[in-house]
Amino acid sequence: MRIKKTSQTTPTEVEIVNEYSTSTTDTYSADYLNKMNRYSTTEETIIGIWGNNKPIYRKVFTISAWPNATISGFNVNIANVDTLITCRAMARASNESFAVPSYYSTSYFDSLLAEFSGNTLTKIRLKSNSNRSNYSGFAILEYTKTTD
Amino acid sequence: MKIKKTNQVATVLPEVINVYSTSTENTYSASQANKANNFYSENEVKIGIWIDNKPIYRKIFPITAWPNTQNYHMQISIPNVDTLIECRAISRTSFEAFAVPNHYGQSYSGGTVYYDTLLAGFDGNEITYIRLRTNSNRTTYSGFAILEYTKTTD
Repeated sequence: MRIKKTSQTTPTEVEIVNEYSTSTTDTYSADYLNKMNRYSTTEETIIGIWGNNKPIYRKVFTISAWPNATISGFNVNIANVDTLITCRAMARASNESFAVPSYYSTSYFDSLLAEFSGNTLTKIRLKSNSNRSNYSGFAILEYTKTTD
Repeated sequence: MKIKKTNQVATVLPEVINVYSTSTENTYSASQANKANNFYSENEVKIGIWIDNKPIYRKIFPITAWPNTQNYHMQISIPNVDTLIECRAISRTSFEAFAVPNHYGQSYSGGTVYYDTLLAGFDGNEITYIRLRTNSNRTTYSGFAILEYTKTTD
């Protein structure tokens, strides 16, 4: 869709785009601007720009099998990861919810770690020293790519 | 400001809008674009979209009564919470600030370990309190908590 200011006689064509763009003259739709802070489990979402001007991607991984005083690994397989920017999770039970990593006391701590093989982020590892089997939740990874 | 497509007659005018919208043809003003994704307020603000396509809300809670080696329950009320996405805080005193959850120190060499935790308490779908927990005296600290969540009502 092309637009022009109503006050203009000579059209300066500007496009309202609804997908990721690096244009310096076109602009985003309201819908796309909302999606710039979108979370998805099915697709990588571009949510910003890193310091080297590479796009930042985000992906969410749901976790139903929270560990019981042990370490649980979940395959994620994200290829071509350059910089991992965010690696966090949320745990939820019926009566409470908290962010991971968490250090509640010497008796309760929960950690999240990303495992790499070369540039492939192969797995996320949840470690808990207590029984979290009645918790569920999700992990959020944000990263740049070597291919951009 | 009204704008129109170059190939349109004046009857259909895409708008530069200044309130939340899901339009794929209108665009935000600079002011609303600033608010769309990175706006922090003690009032509830829509800031994004969760994995189930529900809007994400953010709300800030100032914290003046930071605890002294104990739990502090700060009563709040956010009804109809579906998924809590973010639950964190910043703690600040005159000479330092740190993010919560926090774990600072070294136990293996006998040094003092400091930890500070934030937890949200639920009663059904309502967040009824946030719990600040610390193992040291933080009474000279103040700060705020940031909660982001979706709602069962969307």
